[in-house]
Amino acid sequence: MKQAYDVVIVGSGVAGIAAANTLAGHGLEILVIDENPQAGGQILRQHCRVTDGFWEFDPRLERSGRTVSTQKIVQSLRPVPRPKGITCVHQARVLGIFPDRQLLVHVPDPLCPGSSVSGCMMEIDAGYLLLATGARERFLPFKGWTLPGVMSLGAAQILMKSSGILPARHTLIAGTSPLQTVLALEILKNKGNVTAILDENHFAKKLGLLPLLKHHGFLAGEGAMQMLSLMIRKVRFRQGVRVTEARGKNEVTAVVTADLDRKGNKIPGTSQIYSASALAVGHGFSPNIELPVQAGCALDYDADRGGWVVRVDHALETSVVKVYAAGEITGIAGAGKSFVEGKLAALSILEKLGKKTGPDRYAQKLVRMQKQQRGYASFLNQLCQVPASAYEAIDDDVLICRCEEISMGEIRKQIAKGFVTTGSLKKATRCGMGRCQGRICQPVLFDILLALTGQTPDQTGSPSFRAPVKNVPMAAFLHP
Amino acid sequence: MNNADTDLRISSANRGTKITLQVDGVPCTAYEGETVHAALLAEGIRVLRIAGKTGEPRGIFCGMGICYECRVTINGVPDQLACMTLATDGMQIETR
Ligand SMILES: Cc1cc2nc3c(=O)[nH]c(=O)nc-3n(C[C@H](O)[C@H](O)[C@H](O)COP(=O)(O)OP(=O)(O)OC[C@H]3O[C@@H](n4cnc5c(N)ncnc54)[C@H](O)[C@@H]3O)c2cc1C
Ligand code: FES
Repeated sequence: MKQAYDVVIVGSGVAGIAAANTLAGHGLEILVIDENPQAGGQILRQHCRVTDGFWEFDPRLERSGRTVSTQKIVQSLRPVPRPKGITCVHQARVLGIFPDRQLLVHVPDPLCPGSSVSGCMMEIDAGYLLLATGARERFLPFKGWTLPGVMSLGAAQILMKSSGILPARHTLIAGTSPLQTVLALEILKNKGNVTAILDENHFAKKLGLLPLLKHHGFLAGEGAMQMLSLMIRKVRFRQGVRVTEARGKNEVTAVVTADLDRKGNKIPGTSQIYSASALAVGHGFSPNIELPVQAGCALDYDADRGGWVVRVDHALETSVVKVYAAGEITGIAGAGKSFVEGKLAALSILEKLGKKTGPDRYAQKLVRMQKQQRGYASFLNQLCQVPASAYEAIDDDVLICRCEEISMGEIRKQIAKGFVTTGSLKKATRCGMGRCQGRICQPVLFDILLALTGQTPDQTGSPSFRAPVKNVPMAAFLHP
Repeated sequence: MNNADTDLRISSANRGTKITLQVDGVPCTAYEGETVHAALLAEGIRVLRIAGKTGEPRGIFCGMGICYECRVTINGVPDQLACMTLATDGMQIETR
């Protein structure tokens, strides 16, 4: 590892890999940093098993200029010898970005001078910086969501994809996310059992959102096929149902649900109990904005893009000069958008560096693909969105901040006292000050604030983060 | 943990070499390429720590390095994320 690189890419998901592919071959020194043990981000993980090489997408992928499906992106990925000039570092966390694009990075033991089981810190200078830090899942908290065996939809997927292990013999699936059906099919393919899918969305809501898929007819078809194969396999599928409680002593053993009316409110007297050894649940996605915020990048709030997103111009440059952003952090829209934006950001950087990047036609095609993604983004985020009334209805004894163990009752009390901005509520409750630094509860807290106060997102205020944006052992700072 | 929930390893998955971990002093089988959280789950270990205030058990939640619920001690270093660490032969893991 060197001290300075022409371009540093944070994140090796679809966006990061697409960008690195585009930047390769121009005589640049490029560093790709990712905290995962292997490349691939959220969807390519099992396809990017640790190798000495690198990965590239089949160049035919963007030739048509039409939006591409996740499946196509995954299928078109292939291993290649590591291109000259590209260095990849895994299990390394970027903790902060300082003026003139100086990065503070926690690197694992083997890369530290001498030896240190806790790893060590490095400072790296980036000529250009591309942030492609992706997204995480978001949740509507319920009583018992902290019990072992209750996990995110992604966690259940990751167990199977990365380690070849089922979340449980019988898994109950719930929430609002399209990952529900993806997960169910994956479990069945691997000979596990799905107790039931409990979708909070009524069929009517999904139908109403279909026109947004104008450029994505194939996705509506894909969804219908998924439903059909679940029906053929007799998976119990209920719509308009919400999990209200997970029960168990040391781990989840039962799950309680309530039926929802068309507005998403619980209908009294409709509770049902399911026995379950695992519950996988999720309510959509939230961009990983901590690092860009710490770097000083301006944000925009757009519910149709997943909440607070990094503001970028047409070239994907953020409000901080020479700092670019691509993929889910500029708006949740899935793999297709991450792919296109990774390429476009790389082309913009190449242009700034005076490197020839081929005909304009190519970039124009990518821009057209990027525009087509907007409809899908609205569809996806509206589908996942939970109505404000659901946040208002959270019971006082439900934990909101898992790390600091802060309940809805405490949050209600502080809001009533007048702590009605993101910043002041965090200080008043300590919600978001725990180990995860608000990664799980901050989007929830924000939605609670909007629901309980009726304020606009701008009145409530965007979240702030300081370096280090992730926890690292103190010993790592002390290592020479 | 009930019997029905042991043997969660997917039979058709490609597995690395068989290795042995020490979990709270007890030897436990895993395979190269598995993350620590997955290997523990396959052994039926779901409670990884106890929350400080409420004393509630906690286990994996996000599986991707976001929630910090899966903190365990690995080879003497506390607060390591089980979901972001690959299991290696002889690894010493302490839960709770
Ligand atoms: C759990 C989950 C499951 C999903 N499953 C599907 C699916 O089945 N199908 C589908 O179409 N879409 C899925 N998605 C949507 C997915 O986000 C997109 O499809 C796409 O993979 C996003 O690519 P990306 O490159 O923008 O981000 P990601 O793929 O998320 O890549 C971001 C990378 O940045 C790294 N990173 C972040 N912060 C730091 C830091 N500070 N230091 C070092 N590294 C860092 C992360 O480790 C990660 O590898 C899923 C999303 C999530 C969260
Ligand atoms: S399970 Fe969330 S950080 Fe490991």
